[in-house]
Amino acid sequence: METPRFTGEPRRDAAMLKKRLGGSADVIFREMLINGAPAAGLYLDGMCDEMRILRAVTGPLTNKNTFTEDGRTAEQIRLFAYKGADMKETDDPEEAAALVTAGHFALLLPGLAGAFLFGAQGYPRMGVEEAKSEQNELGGREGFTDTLKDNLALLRRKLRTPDLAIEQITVGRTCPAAVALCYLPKKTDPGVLEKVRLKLTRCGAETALGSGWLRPFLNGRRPALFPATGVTERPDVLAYKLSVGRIGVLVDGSPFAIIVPYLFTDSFHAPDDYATGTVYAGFVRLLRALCFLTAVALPGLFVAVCDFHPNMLPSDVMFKIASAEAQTPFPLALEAVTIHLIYEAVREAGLRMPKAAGHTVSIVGALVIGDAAVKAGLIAAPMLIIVALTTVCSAVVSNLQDRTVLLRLLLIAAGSAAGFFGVFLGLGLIAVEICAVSPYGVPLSAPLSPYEKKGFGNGLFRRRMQLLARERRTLREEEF
Amino acid sequence: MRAQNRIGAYQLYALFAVSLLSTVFMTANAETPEAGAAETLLFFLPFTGICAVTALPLLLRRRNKYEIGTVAGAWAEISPRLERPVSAAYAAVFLWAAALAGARFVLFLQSQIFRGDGAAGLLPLLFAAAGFAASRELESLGRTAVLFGVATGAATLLLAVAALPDFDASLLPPIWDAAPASVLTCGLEAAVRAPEILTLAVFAPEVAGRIRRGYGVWLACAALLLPVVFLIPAGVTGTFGAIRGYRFYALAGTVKLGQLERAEDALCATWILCAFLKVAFFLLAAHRSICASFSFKRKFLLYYILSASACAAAFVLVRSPSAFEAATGLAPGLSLLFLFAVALPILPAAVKIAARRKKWRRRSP
Repeated sequence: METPRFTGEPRRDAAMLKKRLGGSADVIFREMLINGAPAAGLYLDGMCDEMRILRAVTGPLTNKNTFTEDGRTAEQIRLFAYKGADMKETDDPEEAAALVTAGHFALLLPGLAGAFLFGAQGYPRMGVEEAKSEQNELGGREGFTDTLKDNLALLRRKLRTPDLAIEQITVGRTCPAAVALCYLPKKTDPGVLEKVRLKLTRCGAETALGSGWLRPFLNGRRPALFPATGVTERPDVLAYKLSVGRIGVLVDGSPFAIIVPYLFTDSFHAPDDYATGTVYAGFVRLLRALCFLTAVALPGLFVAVCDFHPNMLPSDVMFKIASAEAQTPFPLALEAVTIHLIYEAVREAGLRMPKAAGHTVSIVGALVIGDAAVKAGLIAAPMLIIVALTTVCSAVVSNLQDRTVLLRLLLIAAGSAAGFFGVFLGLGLIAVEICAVSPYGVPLSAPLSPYEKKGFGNGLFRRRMQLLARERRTLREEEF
Repeated sequence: MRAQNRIGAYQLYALFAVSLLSTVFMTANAETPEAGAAETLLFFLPFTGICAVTALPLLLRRRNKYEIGTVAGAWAEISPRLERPVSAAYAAVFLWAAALAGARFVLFLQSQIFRGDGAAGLLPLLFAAAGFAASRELESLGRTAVLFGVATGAATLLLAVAALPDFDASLLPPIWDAAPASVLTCGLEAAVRAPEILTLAVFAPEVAGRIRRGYGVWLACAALLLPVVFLIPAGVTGTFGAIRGYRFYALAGTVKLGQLERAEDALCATWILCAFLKVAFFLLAAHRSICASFSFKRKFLLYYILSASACAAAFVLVRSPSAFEAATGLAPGLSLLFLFAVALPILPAAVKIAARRKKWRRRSP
C-alpha cells in the first residue's frame, strides 16, 4: 500500500490527515485565507485551546498586515510571522498525525508539501497537588502531575541549572507516550545513560500509559523480586537524585518519575531526612530498615518460635501464648496466613472502593477480625498483635510494601516447615536476590555489599550536611 | 568498566570465610587429638604453606591457572581426551563437597536440636534454596557472603560477649600450653576435612580489586577473631579440646541473652546462612565445571539436576553416619585437597615447562 504524502493542496491534505486519524468525529477542520490564499487548519476537539489558536495562530496569520509581500507565505511564517516557541514543520503525515493527537494545530498551506504544527494544547489536566504517596512534614509539598510538560517545569524549578539535560523520545507502538530522560551530564555515568537510552528506545512496548508500563523494561531482562529502578512522585526528590548522578525518566500521563539506577538503601530514605538533624535522621533511617525486617520476618519467626523453639521464650510468656493458641482450631501457620490474607483483602477493598464505602469496609474488617474472631475462638490474640505490628511496620517502608507481603508469606511457610532454620534460609535467599540485581553495573545492594565508604555513611544513616556538600558524590559503574 | 561476573577480593575472602565458618561451627570436636596436637600441627603447617604459596601468587597476578575450566583446558592442551574427564571429576568433587556440607549441617541439627530424623526434611529445602541462589551467579554470592559474614561474625561475637560473665581466667592456665596448637589444629582440620579451601583457588581468576589489601584484612580478621572464638569456650567450660560434640553449640547453651531463656537456637540459625551459601557455592562450581567442557544450554535444568543429585547424596550420608565419618575423615579430605587444589592444576603446567625445556635444549647447540 502506498504511503500517503502531502500534496500541497490544503483540502486534500486535510482530508488525508483526517483519514489517518481514523475519520474521527472530534477532528475539527477549518478553512481560512492566509495572505490571500486558501489554507486549511485541523485539530482535535478538546485537545486544543481554541482561544489560544485564535490568539496565537489563526488571528495573526489571517491578518493582512502580518505579511509584507504576496506569495512565499511559508517562508514568511518561518522567518517573521509567527513568533510562537512551539512550532514544528514536517513533511511526514505520520508525524503530523501524531502531533495533532498530542494537541497541536496543523496548518496546511497551498503549495507546501508539508504542514506547520503549532502547540496549542488545551486538554483538561490536573493541577499541581501535594504528593500523596510520599508525604513529608518539613519539606516542600509539590508533587508531579499527569502532564509531562508540567512535570518538566516542576523539575526545572527545583533544579535551576543550565547543566540539566532533557532528552525526549516517544515510546509505545499502539499507545505511544512522550518520555523525557533527565540527567546532569557532568554527574551521570555515560555508560549507564547509554544503557537506559537503549533500553527505552528498543523496549518495543505496545502501550505506554504511564511509568509503570515502562519500568519493567528498565529493570532488566531477568524477573527479579527487587527492581533495579525506583519511583518518586516528588520533584525535589528527583532533583536530588539527579544531582548525585542518577537518571530520571518522566512519562507523559504519569505523576511518578522513574529513578535509574536505584539502591536498596534508597527505600529507607525520605525527604524529611534532610530537614531534620543528622543523628535523628540516621536513627529514623535505621528504624525504617528495622521495620522492613520486622514486617518481613516477624510472623515467620513467631510461627517458628511457637512451633519449634518454645524453650527460647521465658516460661510465663510461653504459657500465655500456648494457652491462647490452644483455644483456636487451626494450626499456627494457617492462622497466620489466613489473617494476613484477610488483612490484604480488606486493604485492597479499602483502596479500590469509593471512599465512603471504604471506611465501612475498614470498620467491618476491624470489628470482624479484631473482635468477633478472637471472641469466637477462631484466632488467637497474640497472633493478632503480631499481624498488627507487622502491618504498622510495613506501612513505614511504603515503597517496599508489595514485596513485603509476598516475602512475609514465604517466611511464614519456611518458619512452619523448619523453624528458625527455615526463616533464616528464606532471609538468605532474599539477600541473594537483592545482591543479584545489577543491570546497570551498580549493584542494588551497594553501598552495603560491595561496601562503599562514602555511600555507606549516607545509605543506612545520614551524613552531615557539611560532609555531603564537600563530597560531590556520584554513582559510577566502575566503582563497583 | 569492570566485566560482569567478577567479584572483589573482599567478596572472595568473605565467601572463603563463610565456608570455613560453616565447617568450624558444625564440626564435632569429639575426636580432636589433644595429645599429639603438636605433631599434627607440624604436619599441617607445611601443607597449608604449600596451599598459600600456590594460591597467593595466582591471586596477586590474576593468572588464570586455577579456573576449573582452565585446568581442564590445560589438560586438554596436553591431551584433548583429558579435558572432559578432568571437568567431570571437578564437578563430581564439588557435588560431593556440597553433599557433605548439607549432610554436616543436618547431622548437627539432628544430634543437637531436633533429636531425631526430622531434620532430614530440611535437606530438600536447603538444596532447592542453594540451587536457586547458585543460579544467581558468583557475583551475587560474593556480595551476599559479605553480608552473611558480618551477620555470622556479629552473632558469634555476641555469643562471646554474652558468655563473658561465665568466663573464668583461672580455667585457662592448665590448658594454656596445649591451646595455641589446638586452636590451629582444630581450625586447619576443619578446613581440610571438607575441601573448602578449593574455593579460594578455584575462583581466583574471577577476582578483581585490591587483592593484597583484601588478603591482609582477611588475615587480620582471622588473627583477631580466632583467639576470641577459641579461648572463650575454653575459659567458660574449662575443657578446651575434650568437649565431645559441638563446642560452639555447647557454649551457646550456657549463654542467656536478656529475657531469652535459651539463645543457642537463634544463634545457630545464623550458621545456616553459611551452610546455605557454601552449598550454593559448590553447586555453582559444579555447574561451571560442567559448562566449561560440555555443551549444556539449559541452565536451570542443570542446576535442578545438580541440586537433586547433591541432595540425594547428602540424604544417603545423613542416613548412614558411618559413611559420613568415613567420607569426612582426614585421609580422604587431604587426598582430595591435594589432588584437586594442588596436583591437578599444577601438573599440566609442570608438563608444559618440562616440554619447553626439552625443546630449548634440543635447539641449543
